[in-house]
Amino acid sequence: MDNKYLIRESIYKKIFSYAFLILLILFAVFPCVWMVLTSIKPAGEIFTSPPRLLTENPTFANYIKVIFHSNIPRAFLNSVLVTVITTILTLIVSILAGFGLARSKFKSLRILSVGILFSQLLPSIVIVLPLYMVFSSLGLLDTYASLIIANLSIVIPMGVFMLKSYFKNVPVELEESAKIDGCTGLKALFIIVMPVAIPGVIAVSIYAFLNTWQQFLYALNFTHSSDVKTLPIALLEFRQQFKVDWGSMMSASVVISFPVLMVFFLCNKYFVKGVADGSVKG
Amino acid sequence: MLKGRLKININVMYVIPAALIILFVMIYPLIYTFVLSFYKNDLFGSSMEFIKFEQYKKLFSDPVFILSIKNTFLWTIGCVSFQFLLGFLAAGVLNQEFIKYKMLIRILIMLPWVLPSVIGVNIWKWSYHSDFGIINGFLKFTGIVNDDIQWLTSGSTAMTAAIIVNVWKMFPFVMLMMEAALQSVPRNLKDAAKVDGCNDVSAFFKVTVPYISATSLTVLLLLTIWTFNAFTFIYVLTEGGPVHRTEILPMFIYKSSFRNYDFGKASAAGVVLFSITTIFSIFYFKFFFKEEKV
Repeated sequence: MDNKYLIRESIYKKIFSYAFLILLILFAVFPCVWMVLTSIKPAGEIFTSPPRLLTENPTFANYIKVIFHSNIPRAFLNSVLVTVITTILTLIVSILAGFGLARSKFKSLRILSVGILFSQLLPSIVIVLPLYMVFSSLGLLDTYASLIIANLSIVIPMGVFMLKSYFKNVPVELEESAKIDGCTGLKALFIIVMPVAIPGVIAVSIYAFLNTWQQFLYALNFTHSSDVKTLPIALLEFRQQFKVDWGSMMSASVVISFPVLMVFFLCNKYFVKGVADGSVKG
Repeated sequence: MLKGRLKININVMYVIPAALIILFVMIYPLIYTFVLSFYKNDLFGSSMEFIKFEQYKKLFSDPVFILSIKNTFLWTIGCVSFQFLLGFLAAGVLNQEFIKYKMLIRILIMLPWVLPSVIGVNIWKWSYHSDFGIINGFLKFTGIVNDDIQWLTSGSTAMTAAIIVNVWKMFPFVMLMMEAALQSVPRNLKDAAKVDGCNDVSAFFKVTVPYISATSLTVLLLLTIWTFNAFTFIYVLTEGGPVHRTEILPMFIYKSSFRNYDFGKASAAGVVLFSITTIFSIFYFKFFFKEEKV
């Protein structure tokens, strides 16, 4: 084994590694690029065979159609409302539960935490039909409430688990010294413990936001009027019986993705850590 | 003593809101589904006739249901194995010391996972378009094929096409998890193995595998459960077509309940799906809590 051989081997290794990563990035990113490229094509150029990668006459016509002549703006408002309310409720409920579970040495709470975790793995499609009936008998179909309640079931279990792992890392002594100063219970939780667990709270907020923003199955079945419809469902309105308005659909997709990508790029660190902690370490 | 008990009670109280929501939105509907599967289906009518296992007998003699079970397994095995393989390879390559711009590469590769599912799937649907789609355009341009492939409307390609979309969406998650696991392998152990004369392959199996096996298993189980229950991909791409070729169990349940209003059948199929998921979940928990104790 002479040096030359080793160097040559390591150069090959580098070339292969980078080539593989470039291919992987192309595979991952190209659909997103294609979405943007399609969205700025004039209507006549979208349906050409063979398809052209770039257009010579980029246009915002699709965006104007989406923003001024479709249900997307209203759906955007609906999505924002549902997402914000769901996220706030998730935070309140999972901060309490996460704290309770982290601080308790009680055996039965362990069983409860299995139950909470299990509900995260339940197939939503099995829940949809009975929930539909419950909401219909309560007169809640086609309201924000039905969406929010259903969404809570998806995000709360994960939220509880992510926060539980953060609260566990907060030393109990911190609370005990607060207790001596007369700060107990909820007050201690919010004044003493919370500031330390802020990264966890941010991670849960992002998780709740991303999941609610793209929730599809519940929105599809519980809402039908445009006053309540959220973005993922309103997007499908560009599909007509025999043809799909792909240009508008892609520009609407860009509009819908924008907040998600912003949050992702800005809070990347929290996001990744939160999900990793929640699903593997508990 | 009294103080200790009081403290426990307060902790229990903190958990109550979460427990109530889960009870109302998950446990109760589950029980409801279970009960429904033993009744005749005219729910909104007045008569609720108890028919024991009739619904299940009907279900298992329905060829579409049997096909959907087969499809579900094909779909799950196809998706999970490629998601894991690709994600793991990506993590391994990215974890090498000489790679530069790691953070940028990671962020770019994670895009599919972050993009809302409906949007990702719709882009693919557009790309699969047989006449104007970019995929056929590319394949014809490079001379790989001469005729348009009917990706989503031909029985022989629809499932593959759907699997590719799910792999695209989820492999970044695997990469993320496995990269973290690979980083937990102590560097000096790897070096020691090399000094002892292990080549790369045997060093991998002797040193790395023991460190990453726990995460691998957890990731595989999570992927399996998620893929088994995935709905959006198939709904947006094919709605189960052509002729039930991509109809997986969640799609079958959806069609039975919201298209054919056969609630009894849908519930029975739901119980089957739930049972399969539960089996996987039990494995996941065994693992999850073993990890936690350490």
